Amino acid sequence: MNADVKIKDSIDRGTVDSVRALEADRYKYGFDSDIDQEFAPKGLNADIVRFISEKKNEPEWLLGLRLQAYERWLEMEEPTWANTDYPEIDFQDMYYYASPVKKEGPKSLDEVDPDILAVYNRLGISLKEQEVLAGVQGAPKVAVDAVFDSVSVVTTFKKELAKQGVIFCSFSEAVQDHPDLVRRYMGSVVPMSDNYYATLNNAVFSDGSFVYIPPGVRCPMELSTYFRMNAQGTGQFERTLIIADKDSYVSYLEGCTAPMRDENQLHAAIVEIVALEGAEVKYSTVQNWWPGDSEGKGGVYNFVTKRADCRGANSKVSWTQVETGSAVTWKYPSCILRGDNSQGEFYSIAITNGCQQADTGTKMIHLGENTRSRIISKGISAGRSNQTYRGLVSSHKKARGARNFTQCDSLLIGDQCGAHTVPYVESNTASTQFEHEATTSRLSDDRLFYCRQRGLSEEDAVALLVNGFCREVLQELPMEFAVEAQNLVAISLEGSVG
Amino acid sequence: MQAFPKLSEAWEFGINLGKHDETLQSKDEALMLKINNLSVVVNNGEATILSGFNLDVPAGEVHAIMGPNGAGKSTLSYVLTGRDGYDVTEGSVTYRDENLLDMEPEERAVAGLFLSFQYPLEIPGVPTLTFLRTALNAQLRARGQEELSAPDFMKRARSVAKELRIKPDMLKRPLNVGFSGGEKKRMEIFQMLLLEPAFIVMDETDSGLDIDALRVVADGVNALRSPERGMLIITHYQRLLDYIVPNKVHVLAGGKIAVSGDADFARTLEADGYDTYAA
Amino acid sequence: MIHMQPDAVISHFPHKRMEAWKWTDLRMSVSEEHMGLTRAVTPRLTLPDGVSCSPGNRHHGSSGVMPTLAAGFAPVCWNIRVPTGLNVQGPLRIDNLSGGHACMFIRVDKGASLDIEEYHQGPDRRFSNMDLQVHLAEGSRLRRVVVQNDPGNAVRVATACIAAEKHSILEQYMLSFGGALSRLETRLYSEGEGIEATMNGAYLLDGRRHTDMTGHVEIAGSHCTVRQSVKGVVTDKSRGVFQGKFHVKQAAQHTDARMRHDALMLSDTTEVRARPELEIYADDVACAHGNTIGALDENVLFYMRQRGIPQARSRSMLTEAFVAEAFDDLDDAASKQSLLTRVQEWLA
Ligand SMILES: Nc1ncnc2c1ncn2[C@@H]1O[C@H](COP(=O)(O)OP(=O)(O)OP(=O)(O)O)[C@@H](O)[C@H]1O
Ligand SMILES: [Mg+2]
Repeated sequence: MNADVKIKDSIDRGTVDSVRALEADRYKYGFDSDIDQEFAPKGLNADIVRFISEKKNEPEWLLGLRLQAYERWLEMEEPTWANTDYPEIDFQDMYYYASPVKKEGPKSLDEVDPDILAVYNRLGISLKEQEVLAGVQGAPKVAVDAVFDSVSVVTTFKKELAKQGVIFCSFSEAVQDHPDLVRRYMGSVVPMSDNYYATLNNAVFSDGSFVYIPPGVRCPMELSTYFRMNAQGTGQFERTLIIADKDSYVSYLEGCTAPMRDENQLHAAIVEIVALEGAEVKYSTVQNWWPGDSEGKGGVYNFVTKRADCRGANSKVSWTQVETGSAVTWKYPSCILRGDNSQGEFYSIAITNGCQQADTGTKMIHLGENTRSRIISKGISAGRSNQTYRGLVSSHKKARGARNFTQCDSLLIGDQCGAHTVPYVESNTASTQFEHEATTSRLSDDRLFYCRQRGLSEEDAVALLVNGFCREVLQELPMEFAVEAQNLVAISLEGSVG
Repeated sequence: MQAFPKLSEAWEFGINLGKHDETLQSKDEALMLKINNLSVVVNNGEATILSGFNLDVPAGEVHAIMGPNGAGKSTLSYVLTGRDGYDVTEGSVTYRDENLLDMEPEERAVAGLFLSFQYPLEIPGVPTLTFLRTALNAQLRARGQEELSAPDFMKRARSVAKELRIKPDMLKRPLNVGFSGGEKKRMEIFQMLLLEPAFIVMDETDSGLDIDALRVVADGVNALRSPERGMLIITHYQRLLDYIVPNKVHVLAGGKIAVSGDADFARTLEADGYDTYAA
Repeated sequence: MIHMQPDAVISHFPHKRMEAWKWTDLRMSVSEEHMGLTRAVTPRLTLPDGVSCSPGNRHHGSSGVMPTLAAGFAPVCWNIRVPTGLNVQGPLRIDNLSGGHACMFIRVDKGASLDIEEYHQGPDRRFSNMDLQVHLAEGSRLRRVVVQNDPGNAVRVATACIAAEKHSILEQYMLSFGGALSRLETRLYSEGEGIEATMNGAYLLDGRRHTDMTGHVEIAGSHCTVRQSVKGVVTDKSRGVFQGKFHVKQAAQHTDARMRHDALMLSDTTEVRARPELEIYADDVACAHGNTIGALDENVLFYMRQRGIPQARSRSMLTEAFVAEAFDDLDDAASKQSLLTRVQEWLA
């Protein structure tokens, strides 16, 4: 917390000071681990693109795609319309490929580099998932496709999933083992040159997850991936592709933390979701990357393109996100509601503190008849941070009966931060019903007082009220995440009351 | 039954019942509403709510319809009044020898059909009195009768409002906007007394009313009872039927009238529940 | 004074690739056939007692391309002044604003009060560009009633920049029937504390008409109250655009600002675009915005028909009630009635 943040009279100075003392180790996930890395040389050129593709033993078509994307990217300009401000990124001063050195390739968890397991331990991955990783009998069924830097190291429960015909593997594996599926769907939701960062991702994407749920299958467990950026100066370019075939269902969890750094780290992922007729996909994210120190130094740049195509009739995609990390966030998980009666949902909690900047929101593009969408966004700005909700809701001429409801609330904590709302609404048919409500306010002194009168500390009262403010979104999270997320809300706001 | 003496004075303004009976009087005095083998689907045919439904209501009679939640009571009221989305796939409805199903909702209203909604709608920006005067005059005009002048209308509205203990300032507010549940129901009865319909369908008008309001409403309804009027009263509770004694009581279950009885039958029902009759 | 050929003027016009004109492509909507691109027009002013007018210079700095062009083409800026403490009786009427550029500056001195009525209407195929600057001194009050009613082939831009000192009051009511393109823009700079502003409006569009109501409110002082409510009714192939922005600066504590845009689409071929924006840097504020777009509520229509009101009448009653809300707070009965009459005539 910054010294010139004005402290409100109503607040116990002692509380604020003691929280400040904690500040130093506030980011408990900020540490380095020493694991051998195999780097591509620094910088970006066509040869690096070839190097990445070769390392991954990729087919010709994929290399072609990467090179084409690279050419396009060279001609593009970095977007500046977002409400963010950061030093220019030197794309030549980064590594575009890093992987833990392969020994033989782990056959079981015992063979996994103990350092990696230690990383998970220190990340505080929930006991449940540690059990899963350790292969304890009767452990809850959460499949973890752990992405360590760029290459998937461990994939559990593959067999059980395979029984149902579910494919859950790293993207690179999918390229080798399921080339037809990859070729058919990759880039069908986010076109190659969709935007600057997406194009870059197409050229240099490292690895990520691939999910395919066959027709009629309800995925028997929640699929969970922990991302972790580890190598100094390594850009992360994950690539995730989820295909839910007819009448299938899957819930996918993504969570991340990152080590403390001086240097900014660029993260430009692409997530594509395809929902065919009657399919439902629930995608939940808890994003807790290193946001930089209290002066805003270091921290992750998170420029992500996430998009779902509700391609089939009656399909449904639901995005839920808890965004507390990163120095700069630029992220709009969106739904293209193409199938008749398809549904899109976006539930978001974004918390910015310190000098964080977040420009996030969603797009709901109604193309099919009777398509529905729902947007609930809760933004909390504290410290000297700035946060923008940016959203688009649009209906095509043919989208008869399209409906959207948007609720967009911002909370300001302290008078050095900013909260902004920029919704774009475009309606092209009379039978559309679009409704948008937004409010900006601060935590009510009365409520704070009420809580404290009942014995809560200032910090606890804030956490309680903020959690209440976010309730509608928190309850959309899968059980595994809900508790973690609630704690995260409290941790993220430590030292911000004012 | 309690008389409603003051209300009758109000009737002297504008239309009186006798007059419009001359123009609209039924040829077949005995049968006012005849529903024959009616099948109704909702959601573009996805669900059948009524099927093989039969009901006759002669002029001058009050029939009560009871039945479990979701049985289709409100659906019946919407089919009678012509709401979109309720499709008749079979059967007929004859109202005063006319094919009711061929008529637009407002034509049915002009023909004297009035529905007291289970959930009355809020109409922002349209003051209650403006709304009512427009409705009353539209009906009068459509019947070839003279419209009511503003002062006459006001006099009558105030007088009826007083009987129903509706505060005058409520009439200036937009219709039903911000009204409590009970106030909305009272406003439905207010409209009913003003419009003097020939056939009344009341859908759970008693729900949400306190004891005093219930009596006021019942008095209003009883004042409208006449040999020329028919009424269908949808309710879950005996207590309304203590005030408005029906000629017949029907149980709607399984898409049709499962069983019928006299006024006492409602008491049996309240004691025993619907289970015995629900198909 | 500048001299330019019509095509050169057009090439300076904002277009859809510019964020603020994304949905209102002025450059594409104007052709050299539009009369008035390169000339000035002299507004006709009906001055009430005590209000003076003299030709003078433009007051503020530039606030965009269109006001700058207006200032460039108009040989003079008409300076209108209401002296300290004067409570002007009767409205200042402004018309003849069609077929050219016009530039005006109104200063309402301390504690004074003024009502303006602006009529933006004129013959076929005119291009009109008005730059109105207003300075509201401490404790002054201005009511601005704007009626815009052009032929379907006319193009009009009207920009008002209002600087408000502490405790001043702005009441603004706009009624627009569009044209080939009409952009009615209001920029309010609340520089002091305790300013109260109402910025309401309605647009009613048919044919291929286009109206863009854009508002930009910057609040720098504390305890300001802003109410903005814009209602739109569109039918045929018309397009309604609403852009609103409240920019609440760090010092503007205790701001109470509410923005609403509600649009009714009466036919399937219409378009509505809305961007209600909040940019907030002060924490002790209550700011809200809402936006709805849709058709008339079918359930309410059915309810009205059940009471015997024919469908067409039900529709016009509901639409009128919907629009009239924008003028609810206008406390001049004659002015309000004249706006409502125009609405009723359009609906009939
Ligand atoms: N438009 C509709 N679309 C789909 N289902 C409908 C629709 N209208 C009614 N239904 C269904 O039809 C059934 C009958 O509903 P209805 O409202 O007529 O019941 P009811 O007897 O009035 O019940 P209650 O006593 O609770 O008022 C219910 O199952 C309801 O969900
Ligand atoms: Mg019912």
